Amino acid sequence: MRPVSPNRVVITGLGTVTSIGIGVGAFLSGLRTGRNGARPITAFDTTGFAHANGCEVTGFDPAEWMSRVSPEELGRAAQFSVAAAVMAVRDSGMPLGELRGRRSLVCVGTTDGESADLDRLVESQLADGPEGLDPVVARRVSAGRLTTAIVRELGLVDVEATTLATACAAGNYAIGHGLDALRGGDADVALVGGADAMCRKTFTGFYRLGTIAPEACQPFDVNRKGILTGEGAGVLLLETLDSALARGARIYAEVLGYGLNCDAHHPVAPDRDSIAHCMELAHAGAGVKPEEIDFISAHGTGTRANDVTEAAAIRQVFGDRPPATISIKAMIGHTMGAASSLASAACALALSEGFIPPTINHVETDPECGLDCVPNVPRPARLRVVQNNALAFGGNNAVLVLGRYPADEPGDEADEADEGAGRARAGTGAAG
Amino acid sequence: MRARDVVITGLGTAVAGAGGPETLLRGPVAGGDDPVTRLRGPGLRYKDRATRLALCAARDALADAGLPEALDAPEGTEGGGGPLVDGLRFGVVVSTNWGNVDTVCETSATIHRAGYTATSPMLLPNTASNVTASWVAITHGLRGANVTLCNGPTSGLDAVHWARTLIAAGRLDHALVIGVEPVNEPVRRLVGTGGPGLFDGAVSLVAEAAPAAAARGARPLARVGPYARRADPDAAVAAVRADEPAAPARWYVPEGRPAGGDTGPAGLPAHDLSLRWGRSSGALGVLQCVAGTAELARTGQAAALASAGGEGDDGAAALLLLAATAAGAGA
Repeated sequence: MRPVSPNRVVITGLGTVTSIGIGVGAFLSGLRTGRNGARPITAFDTTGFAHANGCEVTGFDPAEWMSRVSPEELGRAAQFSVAAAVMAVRDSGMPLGELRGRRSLVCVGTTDGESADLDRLVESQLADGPEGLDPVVARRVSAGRLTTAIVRELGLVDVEATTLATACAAGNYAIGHGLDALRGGDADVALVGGADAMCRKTFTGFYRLGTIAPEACQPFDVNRKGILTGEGAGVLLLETLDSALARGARIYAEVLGYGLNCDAHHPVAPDRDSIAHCMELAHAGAGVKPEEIDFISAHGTGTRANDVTEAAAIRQVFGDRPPATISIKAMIGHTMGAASSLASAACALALSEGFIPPTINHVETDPECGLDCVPNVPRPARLRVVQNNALAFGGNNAVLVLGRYPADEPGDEADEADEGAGRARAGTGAAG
Repeated sequence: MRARDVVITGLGTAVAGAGGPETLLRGPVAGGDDPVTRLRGPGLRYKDRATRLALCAARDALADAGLPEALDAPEGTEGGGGPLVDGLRFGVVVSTNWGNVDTVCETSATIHRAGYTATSPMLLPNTASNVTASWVAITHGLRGANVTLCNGPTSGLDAVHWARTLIAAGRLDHALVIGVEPVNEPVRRLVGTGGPGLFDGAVSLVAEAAPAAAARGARPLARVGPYARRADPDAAVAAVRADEPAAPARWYVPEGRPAGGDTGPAGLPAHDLSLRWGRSSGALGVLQCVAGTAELARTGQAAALASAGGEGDDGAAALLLLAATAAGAGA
């Protein structure tokens, strides 16, 4: 039984900027067709690197999404966050006038903020001295703008706005914060998610560790070679179930609960027991048992360390037959602060559309991971509860649990009887 | 989930020239040592200045709250935890706008000057924006939610509010809140050197659910009262005072108010801490709360008002600190 909450919270709007599509329609189509966003990086000069593929956003015109804020005042990450927020509001069907009249919360997570602009400033300072500092660029490096620019563009007045820097788990942190605020009655509407833009120092850092894949990201594959850096933004519009029903909104999914913890162990190496504990916290918060989870959207970066440790933590919680476990990072790369918000958006779409997104680029499952990663081809499935993992440097873990709305539909009993496609377990589809 | 009063039980400062929380209203003493020189131990070489400062303030706040230094160490061992404090229920909320900008800019400069092979893999974790909160957690075994905010001028007050929210939602019993801003060359370049100097330091407070503090016999110094964030500073202040009968005895005003000085709005004694300690950016709200809590505990006054963000900023926030006395009823 799920706990009775005075304020059930649902997702009614999605905004996505990704390398496989801009806007929720294009993103969904990318997930359904297993689109690969990898291409040679153009965001910075890659001379000297033996390989430099990444998942860049192409064809993005910020002016398309902004009418009150000038795109030139914003770095690329803030442009992404504003665009995704505007998309989420439009997608929700909530008129701007109504949104402005309600108590709102805006929370955006990030790893790098506007580090690409910082990189530009450093370059110009080295070339031209301190007087070469471009004041327009210098003004936009403040990461707080990822959130405040949304507030300005949407003209929100009664709003709590926060930019979080909880690195690659920041998106789930932001969604959880929105959930607590709505449940606690502190806000009526929440725009929550994450944003990051491709930047050289992050690419270089991972490259120096030998964790950048030459061509493709292959989570859970025996021959995986690491991550591909990516960029983009995901913003979810959350509101109470009562509010969504009152205005006749389309509901993608219900936010059932989440868990947060910190390994407090190592700045880079993930800790199995702590990740497992975070999943247990999320299940307890959501009022679900492990056997109710229909699939897991893993952090699944495609590095040796992450995938083996995360898989072991999953097995610790779920036993020998864990649910299907996928990683959309194979498609959109590691979008850092945006990663878990985009994965949450993918989970919400999976619940409402009835399919499990695939893990593309998959050849042979690593037996040490031993997971059914839904290789290469999406799987139709009637889903009820899904889990989204986010793990960050510093051992910052955040796990989110989403549920279908409405929870029960005709036909569910038949699915359970036949142990349906959505509940395929490890060992049934290991290789693609 | 249940609403719970949140109390402040410990304070720490790592600011050159500050003798401790109770000296924050007086201003710095000339010739104070750099607090990071107090740190010892391996691995310091690879920690940025913000992290070192935060570690100093965190250690002092934990000690002030009567908490063990290492919550993940077994009870009875040196610095070890006890049965009444669970590291899994102890979180960290760090506020910093400039945090590791030095590492990010230095990494960028190294790549431009000498190519990527000149960068150190050891420094990669330090380029992550949550590095300070992570090291504080690792150092003290704090395994609950771990949050980093970089939210402009209101960030420090927002951090205190986040700690309270996480505790009130039942996700944590205890949280270490840290406001930190380092001064180094990249920060000077980005912030500019005009006006008052820049705050170079960290301040920290321990926030706890009132029942959790009571259970371990901790002494509450103050309660965390209402918080509001608005576009307009006056509206934020009005919102936190609307339902709170306790009149604040002092007003910690946003930094750089045009009127400045100690002439307070609405007849209240005002303190612009940036005039004493420099422009504090993401640390300001925590600095105000640490100074205000020390003052409430010393004087027995009913309330203190903290506010940050003003004209020209993207937003403003206000928070009331209340006397500790009514805390016992908070469960």
